[in-house]
Amino acid sequence: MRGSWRYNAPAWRQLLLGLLAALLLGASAQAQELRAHNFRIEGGEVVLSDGVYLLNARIDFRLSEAAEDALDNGVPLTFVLQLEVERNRGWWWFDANVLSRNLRYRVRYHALSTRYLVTNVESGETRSFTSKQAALAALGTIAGLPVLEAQALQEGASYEVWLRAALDIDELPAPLKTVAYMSPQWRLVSEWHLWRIEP
Amino acid sequence: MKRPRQGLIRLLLCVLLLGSLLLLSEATQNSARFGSLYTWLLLINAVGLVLLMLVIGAELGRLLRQYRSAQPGSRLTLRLVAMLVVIAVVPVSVVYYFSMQFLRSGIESWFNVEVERALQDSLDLSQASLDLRMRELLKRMQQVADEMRYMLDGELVRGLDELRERVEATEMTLLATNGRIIATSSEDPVTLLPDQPDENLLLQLRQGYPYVGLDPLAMGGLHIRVLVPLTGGEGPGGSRLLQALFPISPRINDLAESVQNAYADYRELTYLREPLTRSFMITLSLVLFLSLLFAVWTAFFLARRLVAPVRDLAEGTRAVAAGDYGTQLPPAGRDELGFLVQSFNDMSLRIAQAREAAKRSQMQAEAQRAYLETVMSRLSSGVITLARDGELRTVNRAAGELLGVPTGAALGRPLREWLAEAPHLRALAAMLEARLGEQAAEWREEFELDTPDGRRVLVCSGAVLPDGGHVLVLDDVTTLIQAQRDAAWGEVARRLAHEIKNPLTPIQLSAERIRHRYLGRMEGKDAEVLERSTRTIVQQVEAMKEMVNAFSDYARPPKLKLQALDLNQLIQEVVELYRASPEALEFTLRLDPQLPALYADPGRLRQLLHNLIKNAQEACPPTRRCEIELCTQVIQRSFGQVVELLVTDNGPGFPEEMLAKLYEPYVTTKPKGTGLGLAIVKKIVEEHNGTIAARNVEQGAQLSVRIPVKLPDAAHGTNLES
Repeated sequence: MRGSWRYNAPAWRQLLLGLLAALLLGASAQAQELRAHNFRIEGGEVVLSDGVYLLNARIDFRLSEAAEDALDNGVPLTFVLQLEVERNRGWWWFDANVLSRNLRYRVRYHALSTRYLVTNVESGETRSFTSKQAALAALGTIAGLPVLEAQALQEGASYEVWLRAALDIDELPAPLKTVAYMSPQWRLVSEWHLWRIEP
Repeated sequence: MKRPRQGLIRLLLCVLLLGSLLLLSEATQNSARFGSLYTWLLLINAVGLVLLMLVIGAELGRLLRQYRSAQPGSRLTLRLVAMLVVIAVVPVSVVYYFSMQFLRSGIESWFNVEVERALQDSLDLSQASLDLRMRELLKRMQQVADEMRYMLDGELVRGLDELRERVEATEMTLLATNGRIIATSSEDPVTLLPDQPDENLLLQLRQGYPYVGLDPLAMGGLHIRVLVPLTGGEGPGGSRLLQALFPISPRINDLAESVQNAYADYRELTYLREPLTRSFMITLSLVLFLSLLFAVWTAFFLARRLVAPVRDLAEGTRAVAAGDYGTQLPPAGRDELGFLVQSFNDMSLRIAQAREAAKRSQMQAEAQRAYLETVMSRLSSGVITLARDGELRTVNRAAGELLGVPTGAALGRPLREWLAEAPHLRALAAMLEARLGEQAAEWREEFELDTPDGRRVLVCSGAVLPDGGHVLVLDDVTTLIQAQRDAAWGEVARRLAHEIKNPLTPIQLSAERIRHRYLGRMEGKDAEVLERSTRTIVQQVEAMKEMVNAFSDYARPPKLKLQALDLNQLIQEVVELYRASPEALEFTLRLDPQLPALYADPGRLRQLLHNLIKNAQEACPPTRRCEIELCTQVIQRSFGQVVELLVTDNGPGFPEEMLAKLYEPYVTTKPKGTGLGLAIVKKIVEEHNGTIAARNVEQGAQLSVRIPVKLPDAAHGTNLES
């Protein structure tokens, strides 16, 4: 019995190796795909204006094929901008979270007018655009977004402003959610982008 | 204790699994309530699936290992598992297949090409109807733009409100070509910031093309947006743009909105058809696979549980077959298997009891046999039992000693073969064969046997045993016969002596008186005759008296005076006497120096030696030189040590017919001799509980005398010590 197990060992090992290789390949492929479809924060600045720190940034919302298809078919997509401000407390301690804000925008296609509508979920303000590109470009242009009042910041401390853009999968219709959770096509997210402010 | 707990765990797991599956299906159907849970449920169930697969894999591996090592019950378990799995898999697969079919066709059936086309058409219709108005509004706005082409900015700003009211627009805005707002007029005074056109539109207008389009503004409902360039205008900004927003009649607005919503919903639904089907399929597959795997897992458990009593039974049977009786199995419920286990336990117990009883009776039989053997070995009679086919079944020690054959390896061999070992038993074997062939119920025969201990008379009686075998009993009646003979002889001798002695004295006296009275009176020749005759009478009477005395001495021997003596020394003393004598005798002594001391009467033994030597000497023919060999040795017998004395001469040997009655008085072959020599020797030997045997050897005759070292009679023994 033991002998036969030992005899089978190479087969097992081959199978395991094969599985491992497949997993690695799949993971790398996924990673490539992810990179291809990722959102990107292309730059920006945090400026002090009238005692308020304003964020100006440009985000490239490059949609994956699946997301674009869904949008064209009337599925509203929700984008979220995650804004975090942390006060640096040195390497020995966690940074203090000063601000944590999620800005949500919903983009959807209006078939009658053949226009794309961009709605700010919090305020309900809607703008319409003739094309998808125009809508996404407008969405990706953040101009004068107020971050913090200068008064709220401590003198001499150093602050980090983090920004990330992502597609909010949880807001998708339920059937699509299942697919979205499993498919890299739907994992659309940017890297965290950092700005430092030292008042 | 372990089994119910395992069952409980399974039940609990089953309920948990069912719960999570219910939630999953709920989440699939009603996304509002459990939508956020859906992914987690999916994950949990997937993990459960993997765990179940691992568990099943482990179980399968275990079972296969057991199967390969041929553990009892593993084959049956494997078969049961296979059966249960087939029972579970086949219907579940069928249900799965049809469910998939229904799911696909069911979801497909929601969608209809005609409905889709109708919705598309209604959307087109809405657009077409709005198109007409849009074109009209564009025309009007172009006229207005023509009118205003040469107006200054100031004039424009001032006339904007009036203009807006004239064209019935909701909002009118004057813009620079870069999109900067110069002036705006709105029907709604609350609106501060006018609606701005996007970059694409501005680009189009900078190239001189007007724009008209629908704008689904969230707050104000559907509007028509018209943008026209005011070419040739003055001012630093160059040309100006005029944007006007026109409302649509509420009814049309509502209708268009409804069409738009319906279309959008349908479109979304159509698009989501595939993911929806997929998510339903995933849920269904999960449910089915989980149920199936759970069923398979449970199949292992059930099969094991079902087979456990069978396995126990198999092991128990093997144990009983290997001789481990009394094996008890754990009880296995109240069903038929439980009954079987109970029966097995009963049977095993019974076997153990029966075995115990058999062992006990075997031990009893053994004890009885040992007892019988002891009794038999102490018997002085020889006992031989034969099986039906003539094989020896019992031979006691006495039988072997009587026949002079070793009994060691006799058992189980045929009687004839055993007897054939000893040539002196040939006659006996022939007699026995004849007797056994007769199959007489009982018989009795006397026969003589020449054994190393001398000639013996044995009485053999036989009987048929109940099982068809035979029992032979051998009794040595030599001494009995001898005693009878001796008694008879003694009686004859005593009476003869008495009868002869009585007249002898008167005869002697009469003869002496005759001589005394008539010798003086006679003379001459008469006197001489008388004197010679009376002397002869007196001498002969004297000789007769002597003879009669010797005779009565033989008949009534004196009491023995036993004492320890060295036979070798005695032999040397006696031989010394003969060496001194004139007749030339040649002695050869082979005396055993290890000879133990004998308790015997030295006078009698000396007489015995004299008689033996004399016997040998007398047997010797005068033509030859007489050679006598005397040999002593120790013989180990079952009852003790025996000293043997062998006296061999170089005479002619005993005649065959004499051998039987050699020791009887007045039997002699020799020219001189009383005929009492060997009779007295025999008597002396018997007085010492010994035996005597005579046989012819290659050169002459040999007499063997055996005397036991210790007297078997205890009373005698104590006498000796005192």
